[in-house]
Amino acid sequence: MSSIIVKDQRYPLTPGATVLDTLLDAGLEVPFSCRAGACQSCMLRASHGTIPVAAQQGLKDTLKAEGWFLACRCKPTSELSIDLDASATPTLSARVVAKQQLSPHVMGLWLQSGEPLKYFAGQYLTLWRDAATGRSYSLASLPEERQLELHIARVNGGALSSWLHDTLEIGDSLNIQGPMGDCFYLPGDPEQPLLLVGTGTGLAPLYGIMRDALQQGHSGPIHLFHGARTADYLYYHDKLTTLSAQVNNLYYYPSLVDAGDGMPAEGVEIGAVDQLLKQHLPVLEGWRVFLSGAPDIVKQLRKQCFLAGASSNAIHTDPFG
Amino acid sequence: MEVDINDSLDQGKRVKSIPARPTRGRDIDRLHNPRKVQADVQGEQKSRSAEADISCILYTTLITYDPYPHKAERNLMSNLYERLGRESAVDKAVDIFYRKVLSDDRVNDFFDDVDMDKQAAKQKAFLTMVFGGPNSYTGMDMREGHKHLVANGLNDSHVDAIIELLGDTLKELGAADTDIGEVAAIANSVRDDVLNR
Repeated sequence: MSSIIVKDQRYPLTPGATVLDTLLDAGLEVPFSCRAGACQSCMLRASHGTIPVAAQQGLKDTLKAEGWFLACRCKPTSELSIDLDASATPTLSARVVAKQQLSPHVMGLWLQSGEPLKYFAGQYLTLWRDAATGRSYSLASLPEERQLELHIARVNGGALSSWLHDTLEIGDSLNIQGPMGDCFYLPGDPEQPLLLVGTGTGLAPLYGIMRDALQQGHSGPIHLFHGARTADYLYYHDKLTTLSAQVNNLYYYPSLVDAGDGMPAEGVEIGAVDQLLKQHLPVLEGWRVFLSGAPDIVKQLRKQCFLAGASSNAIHTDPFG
Repeated sequence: MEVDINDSLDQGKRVKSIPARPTRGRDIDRLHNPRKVQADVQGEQKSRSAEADISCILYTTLITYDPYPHKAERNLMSNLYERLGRESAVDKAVDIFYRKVLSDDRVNDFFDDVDMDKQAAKQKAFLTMVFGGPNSYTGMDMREGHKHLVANGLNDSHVDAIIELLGDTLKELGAADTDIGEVAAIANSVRDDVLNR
């Protein structure tokens, strides 16, 4: 008989029973509502085992890849281990291997964990200064790079950013927790056009996702928009300009909200990133979209991309704020 | 659009819940959990906090209503669901319908502050219900769930608009007029509760 394992406890499945029924009958608390695979209230995450295809129907590819499934549709035929309490996200220790000012306000931080972290480019980590003080930062690196790359903007009075900028030294250790998030690239449909739009250090996950897609042989066009208020925050301008000149299918659109005092660097457009996006790419039917940055902007862009034709399942977001 | 980019630039400012379990659609269950109600009655289960996030949607509770509680009627309706193409029809319809709703000035104000990810799941549940698909809702709190929207001006014209957009969506997908009529009838059957009359 197949069974479900939750926290080392085994719950046998009667033939034809769903994971939801089995767990509820056992007295466990599982949120649910429609019981028809529509509302997604009962979404759970499996850590081991084979998830029946029907239990993931309608979920985003990225959620599927991370083992999420709908408990009300899940009738496992073999053993399935489930994280009911996803705070099981592991914490591990990492060492600072490099720090570099990418611009006056943005610092690149490179960490190395004891054992390699398994993650998708574009996911995020929480860095802990102490048991009570943690903030999340998106990964700009690729899993095979071994070093975890993060972009840290300095925030006035920011509990973690000041500490990371000023106090933390190369060789120091800190606790990291993750990976988390469902904004990442998955292979499949390599010719699909990709749109990546980020503001400020929202570039970090997109920088990872873009390189991940290229690494995995994505041949469709990849359009990367990076919006910032001041040139200081276009901190990878040179790098991305060079890369887009080298890679045929990569297009880079840096922009500033206003020109300010000086002349903007070559290729930098002036305007709000959503307006520029509308001008350059008014129709997004069939596109896969990745958005990252301040929540209001991400929300606005998401709506814009959806109305421009992108399917809601094809829009991935990493809002922070 | 107001672009306030650098003020919230620092990713360190974000407070992401740990664990980062996706929260799509989870508020629905807080509102209507038939099983929980049953369990509470029996005193067998700890009550769960009803953190009802009902601020934004027209449908949160619409989907929880079962207008066809009798088995015979349900069987009849499941034929409609079959005819429309079951889940794949819902999957196809959800983007088309939601895009229409967001683009329609008559109703899109009600969706302004909505989390689109959660909303997509709710739209799907709503469409499953009005397509006559399987649902085991027995809740009757539709009135409660729409009170704040009614207070903000939700009226017959909005329900009409939604039903119209529903019909347009089905037409676009090639559904028969009679089926469109049936879907409209299901949607119509909850009108009075939605509008709190």
